[in-house]
Amino acid sequence: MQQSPPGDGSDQAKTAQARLISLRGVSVARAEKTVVHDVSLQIWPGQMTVLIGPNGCGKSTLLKTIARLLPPASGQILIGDRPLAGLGGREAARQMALLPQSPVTPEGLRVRDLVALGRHPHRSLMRAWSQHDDRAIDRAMAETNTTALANRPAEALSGGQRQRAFIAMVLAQETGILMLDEPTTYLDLSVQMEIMAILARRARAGATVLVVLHELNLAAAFADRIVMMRDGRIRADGPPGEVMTADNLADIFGLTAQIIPDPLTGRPVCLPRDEADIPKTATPGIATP
Amino acid sequence: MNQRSLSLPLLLVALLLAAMLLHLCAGAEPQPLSLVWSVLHGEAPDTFEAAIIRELRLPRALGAALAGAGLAAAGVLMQAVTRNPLAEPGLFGLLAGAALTVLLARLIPGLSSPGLVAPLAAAGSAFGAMLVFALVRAAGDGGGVLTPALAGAAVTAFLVALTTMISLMEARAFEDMRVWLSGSFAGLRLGVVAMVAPWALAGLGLALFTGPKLTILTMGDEAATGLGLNPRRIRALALIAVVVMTAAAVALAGPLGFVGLTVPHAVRLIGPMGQGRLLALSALAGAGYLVLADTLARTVIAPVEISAGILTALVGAPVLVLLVRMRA
Repeated sequence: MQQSPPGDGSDQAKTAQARLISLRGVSVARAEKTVVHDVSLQIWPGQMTVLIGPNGCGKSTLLKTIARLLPPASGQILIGDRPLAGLGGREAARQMALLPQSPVTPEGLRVRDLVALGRHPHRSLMRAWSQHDDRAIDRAMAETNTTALANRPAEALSGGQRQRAFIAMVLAQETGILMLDEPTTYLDLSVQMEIMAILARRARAGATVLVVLHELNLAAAFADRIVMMRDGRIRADGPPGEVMTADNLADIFGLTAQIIPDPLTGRPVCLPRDEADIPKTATPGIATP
Repeated sequence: MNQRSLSLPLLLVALLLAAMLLHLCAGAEPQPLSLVWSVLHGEAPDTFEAAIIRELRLPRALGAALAGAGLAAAGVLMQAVTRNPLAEPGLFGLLAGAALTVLLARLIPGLSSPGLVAPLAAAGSAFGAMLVFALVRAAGDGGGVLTPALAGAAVTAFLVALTTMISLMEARAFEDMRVWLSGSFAGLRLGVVAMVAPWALAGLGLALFTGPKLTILTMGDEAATGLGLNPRRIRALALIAVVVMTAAAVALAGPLGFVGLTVPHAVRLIGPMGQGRLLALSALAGAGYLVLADTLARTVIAPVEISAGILTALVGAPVLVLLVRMRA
């Protein structure tokens, strides 16, 4: 699954190349404490890469560093072949979009106005509002099923509607790279599925999608690649079928779990177990920390 | 920009112009609109009545419009940046700081020229804002909406006490400042308006540039950075605009309280809108509001005059109470 982008020099390959995120020996410190240690990683376009790990493992910090919210203490981050540190704010925002954890809904905006904020990096004093902006907004709203909410005040939306509106905002940004920090937290399971399906479609269409998730089974069901972190280091990296193992969950999450294949998709499903319930005889697909 | 989004600003511009004409006509001795019209066209006869309109009323009308626009816009910026609905120049120590420095400068021979009033007021309002900020810091986090308002009240009370003390100790030197300290356009000369106008307009320009970005900033610094903004830069620009507009208003009329609170919250009643539109509409409404306040100040108990600042406080104080109650 972890293929390199094709190198035939075509326009498509160039676009794909520009959407590649490369981390070289990246360390990040917060409050004088190093929370990400010497991470080297390439995040490919056309895939959904999911960062998971126990609380405080550094997954959110790593995402925020790639999103320019935190400066790396050492190491280098490249977007395509350009150093992230050399990109201006607006320029970076035309290449990568970020949905942070629980953004504040601005007062007084209709849903369509909120989605339109995603066009901000494409606008300037020189460039007036264009039909292209309108089309980007229309597409993003159709994709997130928020078209019918266009004239509703954003503050009046339910949690799930609001999150879909925020996702429409980052989709309207029309970037090759999408980054989302726990986009499904506190939402109904049906909304979680809906959101992950939207992101998976974007990945299939060629975007680089990087998501921090808390929910293991959601990651296993949608990710093309799972990166597991603990104590600021990458501990496992690969397609869900390879890394979502009982041993890894025991090692990295301290979780006793049984892994069974999804009868429909064959993807791994994690069943958390109470150690007391495990029979003495060997059970397939189970491990304790 | 569609028609709907332009009709309201145009209506407010029309109301502002009407308020200014009313201001020029009304007064202890009302003048006909025809005379005002010919004065504005520079065709008026050289009469006492024409001089009243040209020399006394016109500077006040222009000054009130500039100060009102600036103070209302400053309120919008402060409310967005601090996420505090009670933020405005008067309640957060900016007006008191500006008034104190202008007064102090009167005691120093080299600093009393009229051209220096606006820059001195800017330094003073920045100083007042810094005092409030330091006090909020010292009080620690978690105070919510009221901590900055309380810090602002404390700083304002302190600075006003200093101002009063100085003006009482040097009563003779500050005889003419007493009215100014209550927030009044009385005696405003066209020369002063011309000197201060660039400050007010520069501040308004910066505010209109920053305003739309504040909508994005209200989503939080992370989301704003994701959309290509630099939150610290936007906040710094907004603060500069606030200080410059407040300074211009103080240079024109002294410390005029509550305009930055009353006007934006009244405009919010119109309906939901982004920060950019709120800012533009508030500036227009604020200009009209102060022009009307000054018209009333000159006419309600004519020939005696009351200060526009007293009128805005009479309206603003109940609005403040209402806001706090609505939040509670």
